[in-house]
Amino acid sequence: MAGKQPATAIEARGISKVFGSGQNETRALDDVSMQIRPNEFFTLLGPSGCGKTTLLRMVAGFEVPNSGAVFLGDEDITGTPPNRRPVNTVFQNHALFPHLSVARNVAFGLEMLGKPRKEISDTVARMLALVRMEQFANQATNQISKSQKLRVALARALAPRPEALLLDEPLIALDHKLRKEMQLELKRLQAETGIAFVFATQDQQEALTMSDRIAVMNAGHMIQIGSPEDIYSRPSGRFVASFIGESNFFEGTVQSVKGDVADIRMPSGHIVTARLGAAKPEGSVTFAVRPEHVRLEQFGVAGTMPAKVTQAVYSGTDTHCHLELDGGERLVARLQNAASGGPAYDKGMRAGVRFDEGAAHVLAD
Amino acid sequence: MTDEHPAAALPTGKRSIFPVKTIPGLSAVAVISIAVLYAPVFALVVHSFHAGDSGALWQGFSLKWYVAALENREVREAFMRSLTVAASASAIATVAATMAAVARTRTFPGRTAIHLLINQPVMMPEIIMAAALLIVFASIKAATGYAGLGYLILAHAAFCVPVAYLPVRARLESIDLNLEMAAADLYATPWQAFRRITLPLMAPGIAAGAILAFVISLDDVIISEFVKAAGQDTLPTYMLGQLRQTVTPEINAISTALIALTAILLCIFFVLSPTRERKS
Repeated sequence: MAGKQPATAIEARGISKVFGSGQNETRALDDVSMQIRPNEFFTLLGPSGCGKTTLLRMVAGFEVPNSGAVFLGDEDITGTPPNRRPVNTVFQNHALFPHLSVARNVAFGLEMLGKPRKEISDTVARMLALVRMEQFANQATNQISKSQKLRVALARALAPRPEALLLDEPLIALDHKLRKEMQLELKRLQAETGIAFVFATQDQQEALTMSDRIAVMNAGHMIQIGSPEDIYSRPSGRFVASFIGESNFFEGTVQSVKGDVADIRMPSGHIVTARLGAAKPEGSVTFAVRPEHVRLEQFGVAGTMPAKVTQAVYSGTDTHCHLELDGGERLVARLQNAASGGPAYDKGMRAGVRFDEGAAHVLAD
Repeated sequence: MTDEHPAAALPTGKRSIFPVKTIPGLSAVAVISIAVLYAPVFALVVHSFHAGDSGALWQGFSLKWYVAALENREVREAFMRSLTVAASASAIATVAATMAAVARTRTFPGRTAIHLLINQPVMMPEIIMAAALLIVFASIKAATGYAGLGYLILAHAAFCVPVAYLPVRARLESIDLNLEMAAADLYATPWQAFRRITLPLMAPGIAAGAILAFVISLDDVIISEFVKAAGQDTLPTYMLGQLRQTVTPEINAISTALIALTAILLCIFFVLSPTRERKS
């Protein structure tokens, strides 16, 4: 372990995978690449069927790509069987061995590696303490709760000290409250062990709160890789902008470019200043604005776009105002509810719409 | 509370409007069926404790036919032969059935073929199986001159494979394939994953299969009658031979003992049976 630390813990290079053949052929992964750094919480985010599980299985060794390669550090492990890869998985259904106790489950990997008995019992005790399951060591795995099972699965996968830990939607079976709790727990475990975590989820909120970096996937493609902030405020395209959080989309034509911002004319005639990011600053473009960056003011205030409230939906912390601009574009504004008084805007009212500074972001597709 | 809840509008109490679980008369039919099924067995058991020689008049309770059976050397030998054949045949059949079940659930080409081929003999008339085995064994005997108990054991093993296969396969299919993947992920070789994870989890199914095969072998008449050499009577073929001559209450005693043994084994089988413990 000491000495040179490779720049990447795991790398996937140009991975493609096709399942089935002929009519039933599905391209699960299409030229997917990613580099996971050591000691990083890396999340694969995408809707179900986007290929994130297949990619994880490929890193674990349960699938072989049709083309492309998987590297562990500098070593090509594309053809290495799962039992010879120093990478461990936390399965979606935890896959605890039902005939073994909690402690024997945690010991399994170490036993298979042929570690001395003393080392095994020490490591098992340490791992159970790490996931706060010491007092359950001798329990059967069907006598513990779902979140405790997840803790045991984590301890079992971490015990052999893998180069990376793969987590395949492990929180999906938990209810909301336990889920929040385990999110923090996973974050803590990652920080304490210093092992790279590769976490697959379809929950964008989970991805945003837990990850150092997020890889957004859709239909077998890697769409965008970046920090949660990158992904949320600088989405590369329409898919990322709508899958992570909500977005209002507008069409427009570029009028002028100043550095990395551009003035864009909407069909209704309003001019909006938008960030360009990686997008080409010419012709007709699509830009996105988050609902929480839309402000409503009195109708007719200078510099606002006149609009009509078509619907106001109360949702606790805030109210979602559905609006129609006078030019015909529709959008949603998310307005935080005040401590007292009813909603400031209601169906049928007129209002002036304004975007926060830097809220508009031009999409690359 | 409000009319929106149809459940709240139902009469109180647990009775539902359409009680599918209590169709009138069904339990009476069930009781009659069971009575018809067990009446002959009951008569046999009662007669085995009969002090008289014939079934006509009840002359009091006695264990004398059990004593007579135990003192009969032929009965003892036939019983021991039955146990030997059943134990050997069920062992061979269970190993074969286990391997077939693993192959069936773990390999992809030929899954259906394995399943059909294993199950086919269950549907085949036993007399045909017996005739077929006889032909094969006759030619082996002609070639080798061997005339031991091996033929009976092999014949029993042959028809016990599909019997043992069913519970083993049922158990194996209830085992999550992710468990083997998890074992492989935790550095187990394929053999270690099988030995440490799959085999222990299959054990109840294997035991159930072995017991079922043992019972089937113990009770077999037709194939044994065909395959056995002279002086190789199993308990059922011995009983058949006796019944052809005179019916003595000794046969009732042997039958009752056999029923008791079978019943005990089947109870163990049901306790181990995979369908009883399908959790989550």
